[in-house]
Amino acid sequence: MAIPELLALHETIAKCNRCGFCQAGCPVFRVTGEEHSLSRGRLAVARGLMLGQLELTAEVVRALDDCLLCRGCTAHCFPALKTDEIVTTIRHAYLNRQGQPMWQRVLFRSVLADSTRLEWAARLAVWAKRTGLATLAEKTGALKLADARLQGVNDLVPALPEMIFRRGERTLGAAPAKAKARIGYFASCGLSFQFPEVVEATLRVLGRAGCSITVLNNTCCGRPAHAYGDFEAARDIARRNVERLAPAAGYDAIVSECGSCSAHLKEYGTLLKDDPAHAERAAALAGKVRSLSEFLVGIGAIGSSGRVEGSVTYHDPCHLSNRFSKITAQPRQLLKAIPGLGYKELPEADWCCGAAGSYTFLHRSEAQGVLDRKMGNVERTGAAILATECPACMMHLAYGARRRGLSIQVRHVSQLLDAALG
Amino acid sequence: MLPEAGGLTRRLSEVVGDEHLLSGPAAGFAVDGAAPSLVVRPGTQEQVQAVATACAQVGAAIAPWGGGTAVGLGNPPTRLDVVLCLDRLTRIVEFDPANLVVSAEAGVRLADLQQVLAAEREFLPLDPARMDRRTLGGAIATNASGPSRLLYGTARDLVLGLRVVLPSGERVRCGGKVIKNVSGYDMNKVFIGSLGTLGIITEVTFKLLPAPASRATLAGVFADLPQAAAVLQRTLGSFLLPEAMELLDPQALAAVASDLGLEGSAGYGMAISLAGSQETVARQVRDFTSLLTEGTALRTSTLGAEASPAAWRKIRDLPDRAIGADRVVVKIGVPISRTAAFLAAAETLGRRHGWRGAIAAHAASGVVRAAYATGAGAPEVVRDAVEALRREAEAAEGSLVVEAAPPTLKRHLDAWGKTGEAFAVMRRLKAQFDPRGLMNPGRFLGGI
Amino acid sequence: MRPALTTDLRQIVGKANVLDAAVDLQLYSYDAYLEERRPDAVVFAHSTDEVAGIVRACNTHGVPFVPRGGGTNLSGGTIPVKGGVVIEMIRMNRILEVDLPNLRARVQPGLFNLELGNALAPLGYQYLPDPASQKAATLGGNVAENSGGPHCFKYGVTTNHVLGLTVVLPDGEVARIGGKAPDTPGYDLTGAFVGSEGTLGICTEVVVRIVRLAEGVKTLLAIYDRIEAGSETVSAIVSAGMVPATLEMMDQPVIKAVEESIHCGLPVDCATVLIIEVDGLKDDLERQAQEIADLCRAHGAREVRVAKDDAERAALWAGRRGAFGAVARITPSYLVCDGTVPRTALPAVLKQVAEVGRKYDLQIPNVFHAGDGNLHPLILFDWRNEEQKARVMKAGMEILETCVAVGGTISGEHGVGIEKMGAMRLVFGEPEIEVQRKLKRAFDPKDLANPGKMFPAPQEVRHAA
Repeated sequence: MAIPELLALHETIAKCNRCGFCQAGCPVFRVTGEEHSLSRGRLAVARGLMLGQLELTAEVVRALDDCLLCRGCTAHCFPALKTDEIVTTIRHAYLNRQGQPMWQRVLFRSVLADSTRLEWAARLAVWAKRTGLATLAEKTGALKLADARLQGVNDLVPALPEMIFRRGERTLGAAPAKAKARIGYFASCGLSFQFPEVVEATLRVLGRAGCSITVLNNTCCGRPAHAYGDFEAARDIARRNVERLAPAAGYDAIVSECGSCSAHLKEYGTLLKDDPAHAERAAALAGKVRSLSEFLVGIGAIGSSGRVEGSVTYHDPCHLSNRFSKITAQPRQLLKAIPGLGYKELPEADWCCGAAGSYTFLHRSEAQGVLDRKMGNVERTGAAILATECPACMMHLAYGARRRGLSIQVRHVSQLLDAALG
Repeated sequence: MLPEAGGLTRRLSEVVGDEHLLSGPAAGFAVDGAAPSLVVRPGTQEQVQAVATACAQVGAAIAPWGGGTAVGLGNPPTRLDVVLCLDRLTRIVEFDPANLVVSAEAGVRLADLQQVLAAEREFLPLDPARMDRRTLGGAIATNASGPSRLLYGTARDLVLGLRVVLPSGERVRCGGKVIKNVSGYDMNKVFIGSLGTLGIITEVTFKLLPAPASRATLAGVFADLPQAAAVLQRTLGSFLLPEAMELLDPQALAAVASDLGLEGSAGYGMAISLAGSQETVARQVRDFTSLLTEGTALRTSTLGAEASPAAWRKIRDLPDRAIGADRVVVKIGVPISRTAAFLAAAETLGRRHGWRGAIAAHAASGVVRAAYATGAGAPEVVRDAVEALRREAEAAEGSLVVEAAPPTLKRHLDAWGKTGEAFAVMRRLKAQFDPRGLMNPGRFLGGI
Repeated sequence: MRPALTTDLRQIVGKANVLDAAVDLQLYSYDAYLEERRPDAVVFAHSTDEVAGIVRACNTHGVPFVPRGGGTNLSGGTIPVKGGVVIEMIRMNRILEVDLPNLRARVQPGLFNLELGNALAPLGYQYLPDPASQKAATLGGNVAENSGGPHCFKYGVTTNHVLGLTVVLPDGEVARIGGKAPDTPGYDLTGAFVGSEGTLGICTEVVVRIVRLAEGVKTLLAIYDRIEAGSETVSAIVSAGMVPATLEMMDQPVIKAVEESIHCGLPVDCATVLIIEVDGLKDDLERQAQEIADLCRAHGAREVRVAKDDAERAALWAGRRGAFGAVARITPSYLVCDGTVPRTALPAVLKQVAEVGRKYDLQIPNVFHAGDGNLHPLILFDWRNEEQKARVMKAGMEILETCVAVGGTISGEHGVGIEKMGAMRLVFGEPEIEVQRKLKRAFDPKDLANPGKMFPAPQEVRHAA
């Protein structure tokens, strides 16, 4: 039985020569040692589906479940196959036939699709945490009613902020007339709900760099929906953002300091290329998107008057690595330019940390193994500060440091830049 | 007594001709004191095959024979009817200098082969003792090696192919003519060191090296062993790439001191062979001289390219030539870091029993060879002494092998020691190749 | 399915470490070759004891077993053609001991070759056999195939650096053979085991030789308009008494593909490039490089590039490193051939390879180890095209026939496996195959260890399946 959703990927699937070199870069495979955890294995599942040797059953799709979508494989793959695209497409095909879990349906098609609903959901989570309800839900096993694999949620997220960062149209920073650049700030879910202090730091840094910043009223970028195979929801979310943020296409840049958001936004043109009503605006929007470091280096805002004492090492979020949006030089450049901060290169800096968005909540054992490898490398640098540019990474790395009893401080690059503002 | 001896004699005479068939007892081809009934000297590989077939037909036990330089290796044979001497198989079958490969028959002497190769400025880096007499087949069957194993390895690293006559009379090829060869099993490894217990090697194909542009020898004398061992340590941790590093006890040194330019000096000797380009040899001469001097050598000497070969010819023949006939020779193999310790242990053994002894070690390879004049010592005493030293070696994850002993002592000694954890496989291997036990029966490990 | 066997296996390694669901069996039915066959079960082993227990269970149930590491085998060595149990060794991946004073290391077989190198380099040491697949191939696989790599001409192959093994024999007995000390008495079972393609048992520990990193290395790249000229240069280098550590060549189709994919500055109209490395003591490397450069030019090199530092060295290697990747973009699949010939026969053989390509209407770019004569014609095709695949297999066989005809052999480093079973009779007569069967019977009288590999069937058809 042919799977029409896979048709466009047939040539890609056919290109896997089974050489097995993906073993060198697949973090999950390096934890489990199991073929289904490896890109070659995932390509074999795809080939089986393509040839009709395998049926699209829950068991088969489950074999693909533990993919981080990090493209660690792609870097070692001779034909440079993007396994993540194949995995999400198969998830998409399965979802089309078998439906999706209730929590996904609610999350992707309702909550994430609208910024107001999104913020209320976040406030609910904050309240649940503060009242201890979140802990109770986990302890009693209530959380598992949503998904049986949910585990360790409260350990991974030990606290939520008192106040989330509120998105919505307002302008900060330099006066637009005198500004070096007019930018739209795209608020990421992860940062605005879990690390609003990072958002504040980012806005200060951008302001001091002479920018006029309009805080956009965006909703979720839509990446999580895409990752779980809900392509329709992802496109719907993208359309909503395109419509909401249409005016921002006139700005000099649309900046997000979450690597996953900025990388996904840059794909909006591709995502909506078959939608005549939105294609052009999507591409225009995508063309304006910059990650924070990318933007700052682009306008020459390197170096500072203040100092930050200590030593820092940098973890490349997957979506900023050379496997996705290729923003690797700029964060390092910015960090090295901070007086007083000694820079140490992290071995395997661009290996996934294991968070992979919500992956770590649903695949605790694999994510832990991946994180252990990362933290081993981190510990060996002896650095006092671990910098990165993604909230999921921040959460996971901080968790890793706590578990190991390390005193290393996990910071977003913007926080270090903010501290150096002097 | 060989049944059907008359029939076999006739048959062998038909194959090789009367002039190449000798009556055993008179011919001087005894193995550990046991004389064969017949000594046959085939002239071609086909004749070897015919001889083996004929012997197989009557169930005659065969001992292959090369140059007779390592006949003492192993246990005395439990049966010996025919010595099959390969010394007439002296053809250089194919020498391909452009591809650094040579195929030669088993009876070619190592020294003769080296001469042929030297004409094209190439060499085979295999340098056991008595190269003037030692044959290719014998060297491979006994896994003979010399000091330069340090840089170039041993037979298993140099043999690309073999032709073998099996006990059944079949002729087979193993390996080939190329370095990279994983077509099927590496049968070369099965026959190397198998002491003729699985078949008769009739031709060997080796990989070669270009002859080095320059050579030199450094030698030093030390008052005590730990000083010499320290120099060895420092060498191992360095970038230096000596071709050979020999460690000699005072007796062994005495035998070669003048050849090394150290006449009159006594103590522990270290001889280092350097080979390569002018630049690297000169640098290593400098570095090793410093090492020896800093290591408080009492005296050092340097030999150039002309004098080195002669010195090493003598060194290679140690320790055996330092001790007379009727000597007991043992070879100890231990992890590299224990070499000096076992040289000392071998020395102590000789002293304790009042035996004149000489010891030479391939210092950075973990090989110690000791020769003793045990004189009229009672066999049990010799046996117990050898076993004690063997136990020490085996406790260090190593081994001790008896390479030679007078026949009266030999039959009291276990030549090989521990049979190891895969002996059942070795037994089955022997049974597969030689189900009737006709090839050198009893001489190998565990009495195989 | 075999419920009784599965029960026994679960008892030994735990339920989670035994896989027998259909999708899992499918995922262990292949390696990097072109066939598939599902096993009856897949078991993850974590220790010598577990491996011994699994093998004993296989004996009890009369079921074959196939050891597997990274599954990067190119000749089908890890495909369970007779079903049975795949014993996955990849989790046994620790370095047990690095013993610098004795120049030895003890490792588990599931360790990636590159990881051993990475662990030794900071200490100033190396394990010399470094096949191109080293980041995805395990030591156990290297042992099974007697793997080679680009340094064999000077430094030998895996068997020259493996000095001891712990082996689980096909009857489940555990034996340590060889070891840290030289010249273990008895038959060289370690030497027989290396390259035995998993048909004599499973190694669970490997004792390897480690050596000091070379003091220096010098890299050159020479560009030629005739392949013969490159090969003649190699001969001249050897005649001049030099033994380079690496001599890699690639032909025009590969170079063109490489330039198109990674733009590393190679001319697409040249016939071949030759990459040469000399290493060892620093004192003569400059002079050797100079001499080699002169020899290259004397033999018609249109350009010679000499690396001045590590960055330049990496640049010279970039093309060769990107070769397989570049070729992989042309067609979905490629068959990596693995014949070896006497070095001087390379130019003639390459001409014949091109002929084979024309005869079967296939593109065949070539990468080859110019020092040791091991060539890798890469036959490009689409595996979905059965008819084309059949032509590929015929072409592969003809290339092997060519190699044998000039005095070479059918496999230099990838092993016989399934792929070359039919070609064994090109190099071996029945007596040669029978002696190999003797070795097999000595280890594995019941033929449980990776059966259906290496040995041609009595009436094997010339063209591989």
